[in-house]
Amino acid sequence: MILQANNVSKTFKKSKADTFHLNIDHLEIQDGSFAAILGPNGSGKSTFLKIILDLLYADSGHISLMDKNHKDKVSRANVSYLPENYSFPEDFTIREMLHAFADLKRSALNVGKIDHKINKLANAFNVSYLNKKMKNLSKGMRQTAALMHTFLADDQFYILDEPFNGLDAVQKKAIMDYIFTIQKERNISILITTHILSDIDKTCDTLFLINDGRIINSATKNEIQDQFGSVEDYYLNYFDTKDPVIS
Amino acid sequence: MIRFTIRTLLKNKTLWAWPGIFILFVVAVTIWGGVSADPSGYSYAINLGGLPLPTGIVINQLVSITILIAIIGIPTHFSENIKPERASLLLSKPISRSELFVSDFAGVYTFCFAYTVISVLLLTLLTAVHGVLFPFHHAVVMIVFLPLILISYYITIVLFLILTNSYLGGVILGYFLAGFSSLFLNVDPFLQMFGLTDTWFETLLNILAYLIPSAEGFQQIMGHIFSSGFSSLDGSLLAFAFASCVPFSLLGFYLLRKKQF
Repeated sequence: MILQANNVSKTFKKSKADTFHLNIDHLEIQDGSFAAILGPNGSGKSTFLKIILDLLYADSGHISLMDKNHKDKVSRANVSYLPENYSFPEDFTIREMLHAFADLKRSALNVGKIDHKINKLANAFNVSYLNKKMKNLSKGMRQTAALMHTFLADDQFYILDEPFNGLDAVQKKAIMDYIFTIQKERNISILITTHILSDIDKTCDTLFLINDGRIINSATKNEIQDQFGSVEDYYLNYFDTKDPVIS
Repeated sequence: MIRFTIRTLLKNKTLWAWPGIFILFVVAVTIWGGVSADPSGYSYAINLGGLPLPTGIVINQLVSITILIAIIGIPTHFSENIKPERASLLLSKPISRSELFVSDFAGVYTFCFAYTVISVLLLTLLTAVHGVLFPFHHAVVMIVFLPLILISYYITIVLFLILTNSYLGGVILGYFLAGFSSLFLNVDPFLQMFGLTDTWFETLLNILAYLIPSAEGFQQIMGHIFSSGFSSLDGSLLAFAFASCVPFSLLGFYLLRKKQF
């Protein structure tokens, strides 16, 4: 089991009048699985990911990563994370940034191997601007650089929070192809959050729907295809509460 | 993480002004002035454009400018590192909050030490060009105490950065509070000046003296050794200066461990 969460709760104030409660009763992701958490904005997707990574502290509950407590650095050492909002040093070139962050991993590769991996990723992600400074990158280029940073380490579990923000269709395909390749090669597990349903329509094998801090449903790819036809219909079945407009 | 800190500091253009000031000074004195050995053989004399410049004042001014540049430039990376957008990248490597805190100080100290060595080498080069030996105790005292002065300011700034999440607020508060520490080394004249003769006020100031990192303590020790050599080293003042750095360091460490991103 790559991830298991039981009775995880977290309460915090969004504003003076608004308190948010996250309550994940049970969630588990199998080794080699490609799972997605879907839900509207503010439903608790990113909060839950941050709790898994110990960036936020849960009030109660238990999370295990690779059969160890998630607070154990040994288990988190095999996890790569791409947050939705990130900030890289602006004066670094992409290559310098990748070297600097690769250095922070416990399983850091030596300089030669990092360069080899950077070139491999650049080739896979169609990146020809490795020597461009971070501050001079467009939104899509920045997102691609952030994804390169995430896939630089040969980890077992990748947690990606809205990974396709700002990417065009060609770039998305290149990245998905790379993910499928390494999933086949190393049996990695992926947990992704997104609100762009088409991104995951054909890729995910397990989906969790989250609303107001609670997992309201989970289903496998086959169950969704049998019952709803597509991920979009599955999602709308739970979240589209508006009556259709009749002209 | 130490290497990451040093890499980001080396990329900080504000901090390039530190060696820049020393290079400018060396070039200016070499072109428009001169250096001559002090008759006592214990120091040297600098003149610029025909005007003699007292060595103590010159070094004091260079150190003051360096402190100002470092205080403005150094905290920028820490301020960025504790924003959720950067912290989530760093802590998920995974790096513990304790490691982030300790290695940041180690990185900043290493950086300050390296830039101080470069500054001292530039001054040594300046005197050597004019056939004068740069006094050994000047070199040692700068290399030892300039990084300590900067770290004592940095401890205060880091605490306020953790508390306020604001670079500008942290730097201004840290700068004034650490600068305020000079008051504690002259409590009696201050109390007399304001007619505060109550002992409780003196006690309060004495407590504060041990709570706020004493940049002034390190600066005074540096000044004494500069003018009178190693024999003037005040051990109790040195112990006080180190002790005063402990409370804010521990508080900053504790608050960062509790911080959520």
